[in-house]
Amino acid sequence: MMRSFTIFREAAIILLLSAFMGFVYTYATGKGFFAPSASSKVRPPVTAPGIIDLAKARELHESGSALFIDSRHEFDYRLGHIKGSYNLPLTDLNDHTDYIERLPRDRPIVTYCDGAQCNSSIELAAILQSRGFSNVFIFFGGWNEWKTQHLPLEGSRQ
Amino acid sequence: MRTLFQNDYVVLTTRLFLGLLFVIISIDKIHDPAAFAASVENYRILPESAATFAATVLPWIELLCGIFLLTGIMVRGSSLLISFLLIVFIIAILSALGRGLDILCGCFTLDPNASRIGWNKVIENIGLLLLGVFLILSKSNRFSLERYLRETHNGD
Repeated sequence: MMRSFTIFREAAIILLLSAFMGFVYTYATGKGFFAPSASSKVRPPVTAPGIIDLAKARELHESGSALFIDSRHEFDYRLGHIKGSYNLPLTDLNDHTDYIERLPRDRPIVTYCDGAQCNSSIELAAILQSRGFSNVFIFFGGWNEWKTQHLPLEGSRQ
Repeated sequence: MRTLFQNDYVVLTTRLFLGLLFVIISIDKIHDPAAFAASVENYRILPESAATFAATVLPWIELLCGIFLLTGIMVRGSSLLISFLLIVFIIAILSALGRGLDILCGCFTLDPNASRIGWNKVIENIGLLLLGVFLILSKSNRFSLERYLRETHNGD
């Protein structure tokens, strides 16, 4: 009985000590909880070739000429995606070869994934370019930026 | 089996292995809590604020538990916490696998080129969990600073 009480007391001491040290450290270094909030962070503009902003993505979407390709996993795509977009996860690229081959090489294509945290849209755009597509754009703000602007969506949670 | 739990050298080796491992894996996370928070968020279980909280406290639990296991202080309490964390990690990975998420594990390193979640990560964590449970049940406290201090204190 005493032995089991001691183990929980030890665990509680370590937990409190960890929380204390974690908060002191992040406070002293300005990291974690004490990092400047995301909204006040100045994000450097991304200027890689083919990268477009929300306004351009919206313009291409409204024109109806561009094919939007969602490079996220099917699970995320089903929950919600840009209206009319096609799901092509990087990991399943080989399953979509027939679809890709049928697309006109000069058709504007916009790839996107979650947003600034993911790279799959960039990787997919590079693959499409290497396969001869000449009008490939990367919507870097991705799904996260699109959905916050209340633009046309589809999916089970939309 | 009983003697295994009482074997000073087996317990010491397990303590040193787990302790060193947890000290090493905590350093990257302590250094960059934002990257670790993003890694936690990728699992899509916790909201952003909870992920940031976890990223602030969790690496320090790993570090302190690691140091305590290495030095032999509060070994069973540290093992209990480590085992609890490993159970949480296993559930998180299984949940992400079940939802078909293709994300970085964030287990041992935050390097974006590190391995993604998979069954190998589940097996790794189950292996570590067994070691943690072994230490909780172990009866040996030889080669521990705690025992040394107690003996020195009693000797006075």
